[in-house]
Amino acid sequence: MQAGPSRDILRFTTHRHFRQRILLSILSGKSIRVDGIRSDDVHVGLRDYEINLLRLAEKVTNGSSIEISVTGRSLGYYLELLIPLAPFCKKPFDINLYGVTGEEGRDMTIKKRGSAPLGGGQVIFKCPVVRHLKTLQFVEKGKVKKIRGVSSPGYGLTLVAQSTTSALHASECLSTPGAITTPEDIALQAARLLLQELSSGGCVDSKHQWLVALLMALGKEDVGKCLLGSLTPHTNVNKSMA
Amino acid sequence: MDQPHKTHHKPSAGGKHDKKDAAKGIDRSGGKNYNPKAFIGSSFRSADRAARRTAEKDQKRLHVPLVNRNPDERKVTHEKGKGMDEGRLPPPPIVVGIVGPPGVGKTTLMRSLVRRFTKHNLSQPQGPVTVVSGKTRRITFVECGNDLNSMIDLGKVVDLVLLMIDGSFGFEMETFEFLNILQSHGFPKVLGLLTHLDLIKKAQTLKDTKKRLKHRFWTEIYQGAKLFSLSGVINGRYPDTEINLLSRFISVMKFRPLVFRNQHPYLLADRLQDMTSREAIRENPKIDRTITLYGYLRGPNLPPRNAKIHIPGAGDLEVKVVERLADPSPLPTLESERRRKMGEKAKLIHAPMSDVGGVMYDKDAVYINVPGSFSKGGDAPQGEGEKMVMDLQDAERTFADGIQNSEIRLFGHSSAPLDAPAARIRRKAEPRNGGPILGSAEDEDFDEDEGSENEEDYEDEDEDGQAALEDLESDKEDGDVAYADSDSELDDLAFATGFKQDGQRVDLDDDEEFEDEDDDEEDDEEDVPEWKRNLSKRAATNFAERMGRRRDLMSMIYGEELSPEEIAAGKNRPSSADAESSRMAREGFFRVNREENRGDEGDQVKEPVDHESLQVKWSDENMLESIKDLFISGPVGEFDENGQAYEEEGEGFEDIEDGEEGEDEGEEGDEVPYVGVKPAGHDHEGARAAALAAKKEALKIKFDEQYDDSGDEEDKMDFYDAQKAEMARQKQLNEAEFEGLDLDARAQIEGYRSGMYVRLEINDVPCEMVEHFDPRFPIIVGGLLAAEERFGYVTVRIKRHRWFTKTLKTNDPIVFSLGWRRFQSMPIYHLDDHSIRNRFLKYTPEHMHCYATFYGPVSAPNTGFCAFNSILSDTPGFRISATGVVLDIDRSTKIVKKLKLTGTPYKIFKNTAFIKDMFNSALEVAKFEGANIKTVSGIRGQIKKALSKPDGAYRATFEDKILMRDIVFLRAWYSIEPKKLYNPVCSLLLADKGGWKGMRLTGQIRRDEGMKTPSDINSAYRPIERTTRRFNTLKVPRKLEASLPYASKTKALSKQKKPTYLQSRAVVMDDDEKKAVSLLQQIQTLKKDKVARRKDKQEERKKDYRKKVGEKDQKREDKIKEEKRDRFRKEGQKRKHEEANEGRRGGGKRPRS
Repeated sequence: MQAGPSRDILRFTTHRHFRQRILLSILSGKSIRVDGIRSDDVHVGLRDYEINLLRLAEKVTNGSSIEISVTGRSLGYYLELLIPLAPFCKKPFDINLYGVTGEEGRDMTIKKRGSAPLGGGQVIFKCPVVRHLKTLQFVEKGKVKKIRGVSSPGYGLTLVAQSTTSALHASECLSTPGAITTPEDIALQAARLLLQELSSGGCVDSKHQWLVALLMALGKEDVGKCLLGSLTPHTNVNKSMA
Repeated sequence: MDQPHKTHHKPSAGGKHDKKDAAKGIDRSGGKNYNPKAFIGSSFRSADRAARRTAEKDQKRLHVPLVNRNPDERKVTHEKGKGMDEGRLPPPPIVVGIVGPPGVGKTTLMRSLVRRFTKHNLSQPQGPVTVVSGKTRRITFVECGNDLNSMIDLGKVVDLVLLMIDGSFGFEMETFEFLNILQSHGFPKVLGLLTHLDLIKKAQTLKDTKKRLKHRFWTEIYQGAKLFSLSGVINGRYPDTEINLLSRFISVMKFRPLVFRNQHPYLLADRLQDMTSREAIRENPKIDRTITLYGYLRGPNLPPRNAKIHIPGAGDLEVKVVERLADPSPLPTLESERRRKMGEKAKLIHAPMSDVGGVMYDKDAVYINVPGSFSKGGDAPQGEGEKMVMDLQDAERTFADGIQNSEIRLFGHSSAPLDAPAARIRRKAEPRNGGPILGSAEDEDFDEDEGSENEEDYEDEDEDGQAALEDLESDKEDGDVAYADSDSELDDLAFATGFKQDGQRVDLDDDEEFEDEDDDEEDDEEDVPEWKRNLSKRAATNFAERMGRRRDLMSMIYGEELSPEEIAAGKNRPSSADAESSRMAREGFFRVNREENRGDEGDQVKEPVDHESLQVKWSDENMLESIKDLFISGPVGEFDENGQAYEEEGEGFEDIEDGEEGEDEGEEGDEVPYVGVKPAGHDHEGARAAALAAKKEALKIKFDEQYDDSGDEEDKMDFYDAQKAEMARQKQLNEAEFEGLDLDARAQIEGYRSGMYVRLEINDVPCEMVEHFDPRFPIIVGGLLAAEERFGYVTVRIKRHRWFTKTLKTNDPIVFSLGWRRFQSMPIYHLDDHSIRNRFLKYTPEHMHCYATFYGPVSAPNTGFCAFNSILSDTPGFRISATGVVLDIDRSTKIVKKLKLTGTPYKIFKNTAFIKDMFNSALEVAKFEGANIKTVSGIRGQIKKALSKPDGAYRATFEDKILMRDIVFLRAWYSIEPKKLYNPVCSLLLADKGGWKGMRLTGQIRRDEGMKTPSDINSAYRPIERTTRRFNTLKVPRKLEASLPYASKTKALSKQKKPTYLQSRAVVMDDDEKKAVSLLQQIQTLKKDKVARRKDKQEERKKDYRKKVGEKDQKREDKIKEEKRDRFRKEGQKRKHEEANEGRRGGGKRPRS
């Protein structure tokens, strides 16, 4: 008699694309269940940072229940979950994150930067609630007009190239503890990475392709266009899941 | 005789007139009747008033700009070449609902209107009737029954309501209920129609009635709403002149898009067909059915795959297959409509549920064939084109077979093109996981387990055609049509999605070639026309050439052959090793090889960077040179010999890029000075000059943009106009994106558009829907958005309807009509308490909004709803109990209810007290440590710590010493959750559609079952017996009495027994006193007598008056009695008349309740 909606649980295995699964699960309101997390590893199960991520997800949502059966990431890791969620929340987003910055940084200010292992960085992320996402029309990548950079503690460099149509491409490079690198080397590497970014084309940085693609998919039923460079694996995963 | 002279007329034309005009300086060039003085205001005041009026009109024009998701109506022009823009999809027919109480003349009106538009006499119109009303518009008429469910459902889909009112009777409750339903679900246009006016004989009464009804109607709709009158019935129809007038109004009416309908695709089904096999039904009559529904799509696009829908009255379902059908009532074409009037042949009618005559039976369907519509007649084909079409129709084998036998692979992922073994079956695409998969791996395992699962999927028909054909022999013809399209659509899909990356557009002409080439294979032995020959080879070579270069985004994204890493690495087709892993990945949504299930990787946005290779790459000067043009400081307008090298480099480096790059530059080259690659073999000087000119042009444009704002229209537009322009631009973009694609291919990408006539195949439909199908009750298919199949707590702002007589009680089940759905749920009413908490309310407030939270399907905030306590037709009074709007959707609720815990002190120190009887255990106390408590007298305190001795006792401190008789209480808030009841109103599944009964109230059940309310003896009221208190007299011992001071001595309390002095003394008057007293007595007596006489007289007068009034009253009463008798007599006559009518119609109507 009653033809109710299907409430089946999506099942996944392995720890891969953990954030994407959680993010899309929250956005679509579907329950998920992930089995076999790192079943072949020495330490089976979720890592600390992943549990933290789940806690964060629980905090920013209501009515969500997270069950973990028995068996120091940077802030960017957590931010990448929050950013796509923020526009769809009921209340404006205002969050302070403390920990390791130095990966990447709407109103988002990096108050302090800090590098591993101690961290000490602080990021403030604020986002208003949007009524609906604007349809994107971004196919002219323009020409690079300026490149700016920020260096971060423990030798790191972030470069951002801005084009005439305000397309942004970014690259960053951090010194790896152990390996002996000079600041000059890091700068060179960052510059090369930026060139690589630029040469792969597109109006959107390869690191943010997935975000643009996701938000475009969540937008109105109008035709939006965006020129992307070659697709990264992460973007592809996102697309196939979305 | 004196004859009056002819009066002088000033010349209004001619030479003299012109001369005078010239003298006065009047310019009449504006027209013959142009009077320049006529519209010039004479006073400041009128000018002011006029200005205000225009300003007001300007503001009234403003509405929130809305995108219309339906296609625009075509514009008829008789200019050559422009025609009636026929290529475009016309909008769906306008839905006109005919609503009114039984016996008001709905069927008569329907018959009259259909007759007016099509010259058809419908004997018994049932279900939607679609007619072509003009060159630009089709209209679907639906008759709405008098039951609440039909009214709710139709109210959500009609564009125009013809609200019929019995003029001789007046408004009925249902009419008002319907109007209120409309109000809460977006108000469509309403036209009022007064009927039965011929029953009112007296002219003055008629006039008065009309006026009264008109004003009542206006208060409901808006001041000045249109109200038609229909006089009597002639030949079973309303008079032609009146119907003509009405039809003209309907066919020019404009409609504003309604928000809800703009977001949800929907369809008013004009036909239902049961597709379940007879055998299955014979075995199990209650088996879930597979049905098909037909109708015009409206609103936004319907997803082509697994669209979630809700059929009000039947439940949530999923569309299995959508199929576009030929428009059963197409608009006239330009060829047929050269004249101003619409030709008779174009006046089509489509009414599958009514008896229109000329019925055609198909394999699974009944078609109504009306002369004038297209049919494959018995005539011999005329030209070659027609012959081709006929050939296609006659094809023996399906297109999928054709592909099977054709020995060509159409797509890049297929292996060697021309020598594939004939027995191989292509892998079935799996639309469940996304879009149509264009590529296919030759994996046989794949076929075996997947192939037979979803035989009726559209993709499958083409890929797995053989199997499908064997299973569904009866479907042969149908399949054939689908196959013929699906090839072209596959290619178009690739074309539509792949072009951005490879920059190579697929010619549409190519498609036709592919389509044809199969026929070639099939019809080898037949007489084959010249145009069909030798196509396969050409096509194959074409394809092989193209596929080498092409990266197919569609298959990359939706396909499973390639892992993301492989795609990123630029792989195009899976190797044989990949096939194995992709087979593993097939079961889950996504799965990575098991051996990698370790480590921290797998969730990064950043790729691991190989710095060495980067260093090598970017130390190369050529490489650096090649990306120079990406920078603003790079080369502009010219290019040296490196140009060639750059191109090669680009090709090798990133093959996705170069096509795009080339395209970009090609486009930009005209206006923007960035010219990347110089075309080979061009004059160097010429190019330089051209580039310079282009640069100048660009600079000029830029300058104009910055300094010249006069020409810019965007700037001058106000916000409203800018928004509208933006919407129009986006709409154009949407249309342009898929322009030129085959309709079916387009539907696969963007969904089925509004205006298409489609067939929806739906599985797992309760058998009752088919068994108890009644065409008089509309079947509506409402599309659901992704979020709307979910369930949660819906918070709404609600107000009890002012015409509903009872208050609403929390947790009483009520029926909501929200979104497409009708369901019963149990709301909890609450109010915002000082913006701190949401406080539970037991009843809705009298004249105020409050909130309600109930468990139900999620719908977007701002969606309107209405609620009913009962939807049964025998419910007395107004049935809409509440209306409101959705505010919020949540998975949890925060409604609280006040809870007071009381306790009593059993030991009191100074400011500390021990309290007991509030809690039961120390654990409970621990939970409330530090909580504020209070005594009834207002002394505040705090819970300190639990005591060990009596369970649940605790120590508390107060701001002052409390008394033993004080009651201590703790104010707490107890959160409550709504009960999870969702009971859809499945009225369509019932034999008696109006008789749906939901969950009953306890009281109702008791009443129905004849049970008594259990009553607790302690709760019953008893008479209060109050004994009078008796107090003993105070007795003070004599000794004490003596020692008391005088003031404190007890007074003598016993009664005085002897008369007092004043009582006992004798009065002796002297003479004067006696006289005075007797005089006073006499005066008193006289006065009394006078008063008595006056009173008598007054009574006499009053008697007369009373008699007069009595007579008057009597007369009035007599008159009322007379009127009543008259009215009842008339009503009785009417009822008799109706009953007689009913008998004639064979019981089609229900008697008016």
